[in-house]
Amino acid sequence: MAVRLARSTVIEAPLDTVWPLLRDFNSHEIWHPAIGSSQIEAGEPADEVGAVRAFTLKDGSVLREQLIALSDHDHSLTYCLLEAPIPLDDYVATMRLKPVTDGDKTFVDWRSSFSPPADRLLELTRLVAEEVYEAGLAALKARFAGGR
Amino acid sequence: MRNDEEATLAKVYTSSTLDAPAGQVWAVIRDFNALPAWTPFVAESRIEQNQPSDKVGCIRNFTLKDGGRIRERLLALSDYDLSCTYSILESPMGVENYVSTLKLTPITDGDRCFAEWSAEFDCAPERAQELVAHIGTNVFLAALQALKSRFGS
Repeated sequence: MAVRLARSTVIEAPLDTVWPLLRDFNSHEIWHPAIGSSQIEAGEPADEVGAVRAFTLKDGSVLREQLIALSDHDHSLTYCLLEAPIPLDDYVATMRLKPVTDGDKTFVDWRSSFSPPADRLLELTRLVAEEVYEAGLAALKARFAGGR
Repeated sequence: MRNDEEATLAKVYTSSTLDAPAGQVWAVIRDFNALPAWTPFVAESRIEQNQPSDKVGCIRNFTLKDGGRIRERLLALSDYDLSCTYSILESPMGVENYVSTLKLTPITDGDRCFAEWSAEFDCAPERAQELVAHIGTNVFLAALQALKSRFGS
């Protein structure tokens, strides 16, 4: 069964401040609390579509994800999972930023679809929603609190 | 209709956050005939030919409080994406090929939503700046601010 998830928040900083951090496909080691260390394979630039990031979580798990779309026009990036210790088949995620024009703020929307095995559907959906998206968005919100 | 050849493609984008769940705001704005109920600048509105206001293709015919009359056609309505797209058929503004979309997205870390209202149109180059400012501020922002106060922020 395919799962679709979406989580979002508003960051108290302008899009022009937030996007330079998030468009860097390797920057999650800086801002996401679950990430231990990360590197782009083969020395490719982090904004090269097709680049692969290999990273370890703080619990020691190793994952690889590939950047499949990056848009400085839409302020969005899309990536898929290549390898993970948990069965998240067909995992594709998109993060997109939009300006909140009646204040210097940024709306961040992070969504994905994937196909977990039926007997782990609830567990894995909760894991992705809470430990990846909600934790990541909360960290971003805190990082930019105060407008920068 | 304009008959000179030069026209500028103008784009407007206005967005805000509303302190109410997306579904609750959508219930107000999905009614294509409800502008007098939630915007500060529309005096009265009707749907032509007695069509339902959620029938894609229907035309709303409304007058502004300043007396202007506008006719707009509903091009798309999505209860799934919480979005509404329409075109202007007649207006006093001097715009051509005007297409606009109003869309809500939930902000999931609170009972709030993100509202964005965008438009694209052709106009005389010398009027583009003024029209973008007018539509972005006096129309879209004014209406979104009215929605904000309606939902208590």
